Amino acid sequence: MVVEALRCNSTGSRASKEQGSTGCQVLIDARRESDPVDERAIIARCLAGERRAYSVLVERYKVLVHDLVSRMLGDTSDAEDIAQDAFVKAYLSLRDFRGESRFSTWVCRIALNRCKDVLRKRRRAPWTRLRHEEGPDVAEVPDDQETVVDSLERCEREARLQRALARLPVKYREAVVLRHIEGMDFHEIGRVLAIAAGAAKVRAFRGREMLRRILERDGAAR
Amino acid sequence: MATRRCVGIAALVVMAFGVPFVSQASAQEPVKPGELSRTLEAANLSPEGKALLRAKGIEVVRAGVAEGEVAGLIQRGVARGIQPAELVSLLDVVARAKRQDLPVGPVLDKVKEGLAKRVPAVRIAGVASRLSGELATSRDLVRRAERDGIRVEAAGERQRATEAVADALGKGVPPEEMEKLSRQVARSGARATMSRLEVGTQVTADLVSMGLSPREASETVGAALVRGLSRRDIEGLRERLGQAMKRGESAEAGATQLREDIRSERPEKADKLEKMEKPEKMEKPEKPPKVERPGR
Amino acid sequence: MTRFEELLEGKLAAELSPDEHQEFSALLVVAENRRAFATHQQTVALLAGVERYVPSSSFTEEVLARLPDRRSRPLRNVCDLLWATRVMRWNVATALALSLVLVVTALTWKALSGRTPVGSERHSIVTLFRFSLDAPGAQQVSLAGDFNGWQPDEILLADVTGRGHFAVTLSLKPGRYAYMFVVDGATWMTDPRAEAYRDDGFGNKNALVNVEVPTVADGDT
Repeated sequence: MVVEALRCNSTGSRASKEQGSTGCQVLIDARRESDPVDERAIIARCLAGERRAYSVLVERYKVLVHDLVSRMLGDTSDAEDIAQDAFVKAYLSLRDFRGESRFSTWVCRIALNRCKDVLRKRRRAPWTRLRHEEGPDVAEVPDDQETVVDSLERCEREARLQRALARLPVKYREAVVLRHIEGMDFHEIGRVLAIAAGAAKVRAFRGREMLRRILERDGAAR
Repeated sequence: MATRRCVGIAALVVMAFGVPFVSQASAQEPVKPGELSRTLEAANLSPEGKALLRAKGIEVVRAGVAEGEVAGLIQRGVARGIQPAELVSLLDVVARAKRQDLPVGPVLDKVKEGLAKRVPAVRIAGVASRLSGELATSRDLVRRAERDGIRVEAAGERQRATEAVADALGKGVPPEEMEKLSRQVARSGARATMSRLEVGTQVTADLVSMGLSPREASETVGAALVRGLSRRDIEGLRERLGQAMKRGESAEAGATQLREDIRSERPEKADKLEKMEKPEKMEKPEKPPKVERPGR
Repeated sequence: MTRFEELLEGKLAAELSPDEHQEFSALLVVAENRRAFATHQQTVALLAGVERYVPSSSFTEEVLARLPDRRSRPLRNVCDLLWATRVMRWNVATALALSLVLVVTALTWKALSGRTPVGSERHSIVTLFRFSLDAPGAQQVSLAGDFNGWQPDEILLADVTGRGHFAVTLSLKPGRYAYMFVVDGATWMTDPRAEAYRDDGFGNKNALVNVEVPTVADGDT
């Protein structure tokens, strides 16, 4: 499972760098275009007993939540379970969702709270992260556009970045991940984290500074 | 009309006096009279074996252990093929713990665990007895902690703290170190609560599980308690030590660094910008789904 | 945050007004500011280029499988019946008598609930906790621990996807629980992903889970 993290993906489909960027962009656009009225209608159907209607929301935001959880916890081994937990909890508390923000904001907040619980209690994370030190799986060559060397380099780069992210204090890590990986604007980040947009900017800024210092130290140590 | 009214009033009066009796019946533990007898009747044992267990079972119930628990233990033991004499020794351990006014739940759980894992009865009795001893030591320690000023703020805190201290003692943390931790909590003014003692001892035991010596573990937690770290930050010591070990440091070196960090840490100040801006109106913060059920 | 830092953040987010843009450009004259800007740009580019961690293809199905059924139609009818608005006629005497009943019940309950027999719980709030184990090839995985009296065949985990990933969600009252998995009814296995561990005294290692009392605020003692 941790080797999956070095493959830079879990069990889902593999994308090249260009497709990854495009995929991310498509995801952001889908979120921006997700109509709050449409989401309220789906939620109303769920509350009326149409359980399958919830799959629309899950499908829409599963990559966002799963990636967010993976980044916050530093590995993918528990990420799928915890991401599922977040969606289940969101479903169980649908009655409390007032529809004033996007459903993604709601479920991301739940996911982050769950991550924080896990990080507080977890003892195994350091051992899981240690396995990032192993070499990436050479057998996994995603497509013709990327050579084995490129793949190795990219995996190593991303593993280093993930290790550095894991060393950030939680409040900076969540701001950096939400802003620069999940592509949220500061107003939305503020709603997810229940802070002002300005405070979210400060955290993202400080987080990036700290991240850069960690990466430089890490690079110097090699 | 008058008759109807009288009947109505009479009915209400009967309800008013009848309800307490119903409450009394339901507020008590759901004891099924004769559960012990039924269990023994159904058991595949000799008459002598049944008599032996009946006598011991009654004795344990009279000591204050729930009949359902006693019957359950006997049922599990018999199903596992444990001889009546051995079952008696297990019940003895439970009864002794109850008579000493110890929290019997952990002792019962340990016996059930041993039975489920098919451990020989003699070994179960030994482990459960040792646990009882640790609970007794811990109970005394917790009582002293209360006398020293540590407050119990909610139901069950004393018992949980007793169990946590017993767990730490079981991990090899000496009673003297636990006393020291307890004094550190007691001296923390408004934060001198039993729940802090509980979390402090739990984390101490966890640090020992991670490879730290008991003394180092209690010193590290002690430093956090003296510094006034919150419950969350005390629990976070596990992760911080884990991160240090992941960086290649030994547990001891990691703990030493951790203590230095704790002693030199300042409470984190919010950036000026964070303080100045008021939070926007938000959705209600997410809470885990709560299912309220009446307690047993 | 300094003014330059605020403008830098706005620049990275492409949210500067023309005036702010000019102000920012003026500040870039300072070499240190230029270096800082370049560094932040590099970090942003690094972060933006990462691959997303994509969940498995059965993710949505697994979530749906874990959702409880909302009320079924017959039950909804019962609820409607119970909660439908009704008009009641009453008088003061009846109201007083009912109040007396409630008060007496409350006092009696309070007096009697002080007796707590061994083995009973006081907490009335539960938290959902999910246990999972990867055991490809196993026919059955169950969970035994303090929360169920160590019964080895009571709580069965489900392999929803058929790929050997067994899971179950339990409602647990606050407390610390020791547990182990039991594979195929005979093999006791320690959870490799637990938050903490303890020797059980019998030569095995129990996993531990700590369920805290849910709180609204972050503050604590």
